[in-house]
Amino acid sequence: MKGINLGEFEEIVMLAVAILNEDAYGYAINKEILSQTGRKVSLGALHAALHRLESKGYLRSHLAGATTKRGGKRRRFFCLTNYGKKVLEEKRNIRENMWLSIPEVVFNAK
Amino acid sequence: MYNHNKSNRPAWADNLLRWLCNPAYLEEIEGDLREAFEDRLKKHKPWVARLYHLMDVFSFLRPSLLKNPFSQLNINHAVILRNHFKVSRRVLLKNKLFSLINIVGLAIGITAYVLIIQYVKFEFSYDQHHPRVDDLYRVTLTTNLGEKGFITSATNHPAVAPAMKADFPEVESYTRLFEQSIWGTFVLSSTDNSGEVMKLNANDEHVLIADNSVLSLFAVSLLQGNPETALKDPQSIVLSASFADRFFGGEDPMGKTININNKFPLKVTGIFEDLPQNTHIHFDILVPLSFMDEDWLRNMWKWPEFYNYIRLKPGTNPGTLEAKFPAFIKKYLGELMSEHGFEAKFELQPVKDIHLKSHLHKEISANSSDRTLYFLIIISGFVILIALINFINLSTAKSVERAKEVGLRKVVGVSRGALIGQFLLESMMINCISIILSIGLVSLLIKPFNHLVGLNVLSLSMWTEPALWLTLFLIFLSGGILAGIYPAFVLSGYKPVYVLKGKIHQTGQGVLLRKILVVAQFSISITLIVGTFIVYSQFSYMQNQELGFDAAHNVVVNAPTVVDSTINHKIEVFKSELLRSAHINAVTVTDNIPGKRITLSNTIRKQHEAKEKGVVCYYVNIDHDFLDAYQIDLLAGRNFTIEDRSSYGRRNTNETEQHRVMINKAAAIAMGFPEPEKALNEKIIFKVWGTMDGTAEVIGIVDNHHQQSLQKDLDPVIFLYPDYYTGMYMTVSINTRNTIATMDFIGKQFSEFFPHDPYKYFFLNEYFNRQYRADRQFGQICLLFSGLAIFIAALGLFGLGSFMALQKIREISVRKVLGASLVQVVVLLPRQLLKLIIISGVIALPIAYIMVDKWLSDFAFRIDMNWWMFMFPLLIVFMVAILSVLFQSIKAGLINPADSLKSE
Repeated sequence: MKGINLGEFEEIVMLAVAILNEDAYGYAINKEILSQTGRKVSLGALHAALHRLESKGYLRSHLAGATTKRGGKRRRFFCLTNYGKKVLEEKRNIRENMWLSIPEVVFNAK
Repeated sequence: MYNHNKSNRPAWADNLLRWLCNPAYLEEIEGDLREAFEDRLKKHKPWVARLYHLMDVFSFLRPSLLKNPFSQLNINHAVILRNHFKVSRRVLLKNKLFSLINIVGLAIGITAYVLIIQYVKFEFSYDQHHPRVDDLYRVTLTTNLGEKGFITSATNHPAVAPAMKADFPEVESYTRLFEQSIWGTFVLSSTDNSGEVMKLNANDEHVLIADNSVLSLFAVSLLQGNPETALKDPQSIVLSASFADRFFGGEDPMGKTININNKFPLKVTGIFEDLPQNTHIHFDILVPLSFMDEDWLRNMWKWPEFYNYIRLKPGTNPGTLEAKFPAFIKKYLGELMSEHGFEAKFELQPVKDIHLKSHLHKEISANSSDRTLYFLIIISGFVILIALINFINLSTAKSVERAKEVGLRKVVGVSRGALIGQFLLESMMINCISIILSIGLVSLLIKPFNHLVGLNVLSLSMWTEPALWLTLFLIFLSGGILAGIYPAFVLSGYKPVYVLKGKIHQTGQGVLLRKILVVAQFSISITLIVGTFIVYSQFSYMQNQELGFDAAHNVVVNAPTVVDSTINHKIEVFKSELLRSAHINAVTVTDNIPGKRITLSNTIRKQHEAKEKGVVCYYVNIDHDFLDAYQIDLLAGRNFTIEDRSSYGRRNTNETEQHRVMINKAAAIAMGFPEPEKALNEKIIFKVWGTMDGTAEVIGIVDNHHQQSLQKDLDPVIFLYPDYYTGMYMTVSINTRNTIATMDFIGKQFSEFFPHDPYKYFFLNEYFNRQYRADRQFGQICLLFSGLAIFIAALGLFGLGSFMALQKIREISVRKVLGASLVQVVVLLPRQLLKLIIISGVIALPIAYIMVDKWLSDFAFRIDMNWWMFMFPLLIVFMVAILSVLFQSIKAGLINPADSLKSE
C-alpha cells in the first residue's frame, strides 16, 4: 500500500486508541501514551492529531458519557475504522518485512 | 456568590478558549482539560497545576482547533452584496438630480483639493534636494546701522564665510553668491563660428557671481566640465544648458569665449543641467567670484551684499556654533561697530527653510510663506467639506422617500447592520464616481493650473506617486463614511410599523442638523468671499495707487555699457537727438529704476550731529532730466544742472569737496526736519566713498515715490549727480500710443550711438507691477477656490430647495386655497433661508475680519476696511442662495392646489 499518510506520532496515537479500545478519549489517550512511551504530549497537540486522523478516515468518534468529574462535559470517544485498522496493519507488515530483510551481520557482528 | 477556591482554574483562560476555540470541539476539550487539571491537583500544588493548565489551554490555540473565520462568511453574503450594488445603482439612476449634484459637487471639491495639495507639496519641496541640505546654512546679518532699529538681511559681508571657515572647525566649506545687477550691467558678446557677433544684455538673465564651491554645495549637476575647477579660474564662466543653447544656437559652447562689456573675456568651462524650479536660488550664468579682487573681498567687512552659505560638518549643532558668533563678530567687526555706533548679529538660517520661512531684507528671490500654504490647505478642506455636507443634507432630506423601502426590507428580515451597509455603499459609490471624475478633471487642468500659479507644479507623472493615490483612497474612505454614516443611521432607524402605516413625518432632529450644516456651509462661503474680496481690493488698490512718479509713459532702455571717456557727452547728444522726436518728452540716465531694490544704502546726517544720529538712506544716481522724465514734484529748491555734478563715489574723491544733492521728503523727515522744506540749503554729511564722510548742500527736496511695491514702506532717498558715468538704465518718457514706431526710432538712434550694446527695452509699469505677481496669483487662487466653494454650496442648496419645496407643497396648496397670493407662497422658502444666512453672517464675519486684518497688516500701504466689504459678500451669498431655491419655490407655487391635495 503506497502512500500511507501516517506520521510516527499519529501511529502512536492510533495504537493508543486501539489499546484503550472502548475507553479511548482525549485525556485517557494522553495518559496511555505517557505510560507506554514515557512521552509527554500536550493536550492541544493530541486533539489536533485526533481530529486530523478522523478527517483522514482512520478514526471515527462519538460524544458520550457525561460525568460530574468533567463538570458535566461529554467525552469524545475514538475508535479505529476498518480503513484505519488496515493502515496500521500495513504499516506493521512493512516494518516487519523490513526487519526480516536486515542481514544478520548488522546487529550481531561485534 | 463568589467562591474563591485556590484550586480553581483561572476563568479567563477558559473564557479565552471559549472565545477562540472551534465550538464543535469545545466540549470535549473543556472536559479533558478539567480532568487533567483535577489529576494534577492530586500530584502538585495548586499553583503548579494552574500553570500546567494554562500551558494546556495555550496548546489548544492552534489553527486546526480554532474558529474558522471564513465559516461565518457564507454564500449569502455575496448575494446580499450583489443586491446592495444593484439597489445602489438603481437609486443613483432614479434620482438623477440628487446623484448629479452630489457627484459634481464632490468631484469639484476633490479636484480642488488635489490641485491645492500638489501645489502645497511643490512649495514644500523647495531646496530639499541639495546634497546634505541639513548641514547647509545661510549666514544672515542683523544690524541697527542708523536709527531704524534692527533689520535682518539675507546678505552679509563677503569676508564672513571665509573667516568662519578659518576660525571654526565645524565649518566644512562655504560659498558666497553675489547678484550681478549690483555689480553693474553685463553685456555678453561672443563671436560664433561664422564670425558673427552675438550680443545679449544680461540684466534679465539670472547671473550670479559665485565661489566655485556653489557647484558642490548646491545640487548643480555639470553636464560638461569639472565641478572641482570650473569656476576656479577668474576668467571662466559656467552656463546652464538652456542658456548655452539659446546664446550659442546649438554650437558646442565649451571653450568658447564670452566677452563681458567688451572688456573681460571669459572662457566657458562648464555647462550645467537647468536648475529645477523648486530652489530659492536661480541662475543661468555663473561668473567666478575671483572675477573681482579676491583678497580684497576676503577682508571686506563693509559691504553686506553677499549671500554667505556654509556647510557644517555632519552632526554639528548649529546652536553651539551660533553661540560663538558674538566673540567672532567682536573680533572682526568690533572696531567698525564702536566707530560707527552700531551693533551686528549673525544667525544661521537652514537653507531648507528659506523658501517657506524667510522674509528678510534683500532676499535673493521672492519666497512663499508657510502660513499662506496652510491657509490654502484649509480652504481646500473646506471645499470638500461643503460637498460632503451637500450629500448629508440631501440624503437626510430625501430619507422620507426611502422610508417605505426601509420598512419593507426590515419586515422581510433585513438587519439594521445590513441596511447601514447598503446606505454606506451608496455613499461610497458616489464618492468613487466623483474620484474617478476628478482624476480626469485634474489631468485636464494640468496646463491651466500651471499657468495660473506660474510654476510647473503639475504633470501627468503625479499619477505615478503612491502618496497621491493614498490621499485619494483616504478621501474616498473617509468621505464615504463621513457623509454616509449619518443618513445611514437615520434611514435604517425607521420603525417598520409606523413607516408602512404611512405615519412617517419629518423628524425635527433631522431638520435642525440640516440647518446647522447649511449654516456651516454659508459661514465657510462667506468667509472665503470676504477674504477673496479684500485680497482683490488690496491688490487693485496697490496697482492703482499714485506711485509718486509717472509709470504709464515711461519706457526703460538699458544704458550703454561699452563706454569710454566721452560717454557723458555722447549721452547728452543722444538725448537731444531723441528729443527731436515729437513723441519723446524727456530722457534720463540713472543707476536705478522704480521697481528695483536700491542696493546702495548708507547713513546721512545733519552737519554737526553725532555719528550715531545718522539715518539709513538709499543712494540713487540721477541726472538733471530725472525729475522731468519721472514727473516727480520738486517741493522746494531747484533741480540739478550739469554744473552740479560732483566727484562723489570716485575712489580719488576730494574730502573737502562741497557736493550738491537732492533728498526726498522721507529722508528730510528722517534726518529731523519735520517740515521737509526747511532742509533746503542745509549742509549734510554723507558717505562719498566707502566709509569716507563728505559734506553736501541740499539744493532740492523732492516728493516721495514708491521705489518698491506698496508692501514696502516709502524709503528715504538721497539723489546724487556724479560727474562720471554710472548709468544702468535710460528712461524715456513718451507721449504717444504708437509705441512701436517710437521704440523703433529710439532703437535706430541707440544702435547708431552705441553699436556695441544690444538694444532692449521694457515698459516701466509692467516692470513695476511684476512685484505683485505673487499677490496676484494668490488672489486668483483664492478667487478660484472660493468660487468653487460657493458654487458647490449653491448646488447643494438647489437640491435641498427642491426637496423642501416638495415637502412644503401641501402647505403651499392649502395657503393658496385659503387665498394666499403667489408672491406670498413663493417667499416661504427664501424666508427660511434668510434666517440661516443672517446666522452664518454673525458667525463668519468676525472670523473673516480677524483673518483679513492679519493678512493686511503685512502691507505698509493698505486699504481701509469698510463695512460694505463685509456686507457685500453677505449679499452675494444671499443672492446665490435665493436664486437657487427661487426656481423650486416658484414651481411649487404655480402648482394647482387641486393636484397636490387630491391625494389627501
